[in-house]
Amino acid sequence: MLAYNLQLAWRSLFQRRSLTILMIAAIAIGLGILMTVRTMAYQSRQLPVGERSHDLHLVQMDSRGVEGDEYAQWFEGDAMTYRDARILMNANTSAIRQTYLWKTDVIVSSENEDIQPKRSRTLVGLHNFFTMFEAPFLYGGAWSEDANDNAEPVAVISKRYNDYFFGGENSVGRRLNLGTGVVTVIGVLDDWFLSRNYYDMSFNAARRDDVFIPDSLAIDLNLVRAMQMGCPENEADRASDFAATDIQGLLNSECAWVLFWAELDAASAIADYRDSIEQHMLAQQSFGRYPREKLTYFLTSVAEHMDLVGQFRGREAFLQLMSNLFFAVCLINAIGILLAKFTSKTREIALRLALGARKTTIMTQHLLEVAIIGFLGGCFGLLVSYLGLAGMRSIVVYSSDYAFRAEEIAHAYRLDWTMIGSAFVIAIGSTILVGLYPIWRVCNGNPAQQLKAQ
Amino acid sequence: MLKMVNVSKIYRTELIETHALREVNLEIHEGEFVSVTGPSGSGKTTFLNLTGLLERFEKGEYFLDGQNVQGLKDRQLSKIRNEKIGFVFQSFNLIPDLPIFDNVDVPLRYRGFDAKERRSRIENALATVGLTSRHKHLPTQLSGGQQQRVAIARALAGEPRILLADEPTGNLDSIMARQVMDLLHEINSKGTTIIMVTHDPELASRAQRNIQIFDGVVSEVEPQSADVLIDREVPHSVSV
Repeated sequence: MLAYNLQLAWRSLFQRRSLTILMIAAIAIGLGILMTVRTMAYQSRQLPVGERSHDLHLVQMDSRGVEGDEYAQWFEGDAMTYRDARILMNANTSAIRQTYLWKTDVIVSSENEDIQPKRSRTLVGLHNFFTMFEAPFLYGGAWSEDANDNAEPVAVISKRYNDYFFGGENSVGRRLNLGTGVVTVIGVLDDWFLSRNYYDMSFNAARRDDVFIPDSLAIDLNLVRAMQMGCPENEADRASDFAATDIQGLLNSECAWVLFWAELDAASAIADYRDSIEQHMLAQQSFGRYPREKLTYFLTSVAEHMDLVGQFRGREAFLQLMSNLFFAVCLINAIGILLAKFTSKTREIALRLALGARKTTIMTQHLLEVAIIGFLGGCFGLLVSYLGLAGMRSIVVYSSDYAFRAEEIAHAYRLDWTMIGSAFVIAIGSTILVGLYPIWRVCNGNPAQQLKAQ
Repeated sequence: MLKMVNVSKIYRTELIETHALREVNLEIHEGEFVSVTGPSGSGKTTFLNLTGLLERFEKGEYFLDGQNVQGLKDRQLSKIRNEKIGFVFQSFNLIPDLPIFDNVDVPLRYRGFDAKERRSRIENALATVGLTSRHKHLPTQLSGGQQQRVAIARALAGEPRILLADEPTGNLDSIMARQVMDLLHEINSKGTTIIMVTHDPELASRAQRNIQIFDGVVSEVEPQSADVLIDREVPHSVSV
């Protein structure tokens, strides 16, 4: 009976074909727009490093003076002082890995004078960075721990820079000018698609770092500190000097400016790490630091950060609301069209009931028809969504003055299998839902009257 | 095979209550050919619909093959309609975009027969009505008489115990009407009970029994006097 019902449902699609096309079009357009917005929201909510997003923790310690209110939330807090970062790096903690990082602006040029130099936002960190944040290498690899300690003039560059300065060849061993210094390329990162640039707390969806160098090298070269300086009152007036020139003063100051990350893979490790932080703060307090009565620190995971970022997406929420409403309007239209289509079949339905069909059989037949319409609406809706996402991506690239390449942000506009599956679930589910009333209505008419009507 | 005891059918709207059938007491035996006559609006079609289990009734009892059908669920009523009752309508009620073969196939599909059994029954039914060669035609490619014969084939394919015909010749010219009537008599001669609603006194007179319905009241008359009450318009609505 199912095969027969399917056959009838399929045949029915071609009766009053214009109504079928209209209905599929309504669902496809509504769903297409809905899925475009949902996909963008979904991709931007993706945890950047999957399950490891629960393991990677930002460490913040409030080393300010007594001025100001207590920090209640992690996002109110500052980064970390360089002194604390170095002490924690050398302490025996429960962390699997630790690293700290900061940013600098530097002019990068190659030995080939025909290639224009580029102003690069450069990430300064430790060798652990690449492992902790799962940066993918195309050529070479990260620098060693020794390079960290000895300020070796090495750098890892992005694929984009490798393409620009070296024509996409394996540039490991080649040289680049970095401000006043010269570095040797020891690694080239492959395309690294992140839903958000989370490790530097910018949460920028597209902008990527192009050069990565060891912390000790950047300190030696006295590269500018492109970071927010959270300095206590007594050092506030020196903040700009700290950022631009006075590196030794900065390293010994109470200004918080480096981002410190710890990888903690279990609840017990997190608890132990908290103990380590508290002991460190108490010890430092005994040396006259941490003057506040209440010692405040935060240990928050990437997953927690992304949760908070999600709460501040007003534009995204508005777009989702509008696309939901538009889809609802399309579905309401579909109800009207379904009613018109099914009402034109009341005589045939009445005849089938008279000839021995059960109501449930007739309802099944029409539910199958509606499900097929939903499926077809889903297929075309995905096509609309694909085009919509391509359009949105082009708008972003255009509005950035082509600062972003389309492929760099493609991941944020990509329909993956989860979204494709959910598109079909939404299309078929909602079409069946809106089809229930028209189906119920035509199946509960009086067959005797309908058969008599001419 | 069919027995009605005090069966009444009332149609209700917000303002009007219409007694379509009043206290019908009737027994029809297996193999009978019964014509039902009466003025327009007297309740003939309602009677046929009740008999065919297409409508429910308010009062009384209706036994079909000894089974009281009142209170049966949709599933059970569908099964009885499918297995025991065949319908022939004045306007044929063929599905226009299905070939003749598939039209006759409709009740058999709901019966759950396998493909071989269905094919055999369809071919036999079409042979009975003389339309074997037209099985691939669409209904619109046939004359009115041929369409009605297809409708009869559809009713016969399930080998029903009882055939209900609602003015089966109403849309046909006299020659085609005679052919259809001959066919119905042939079917009846093989044991199928036929109940036929008609306006035509001549056709009614060819039945073994004639039942007249007047203002919802059923009475039996001699076949030769079947034209007495035909075409008299009688109001039978009662305001409430």
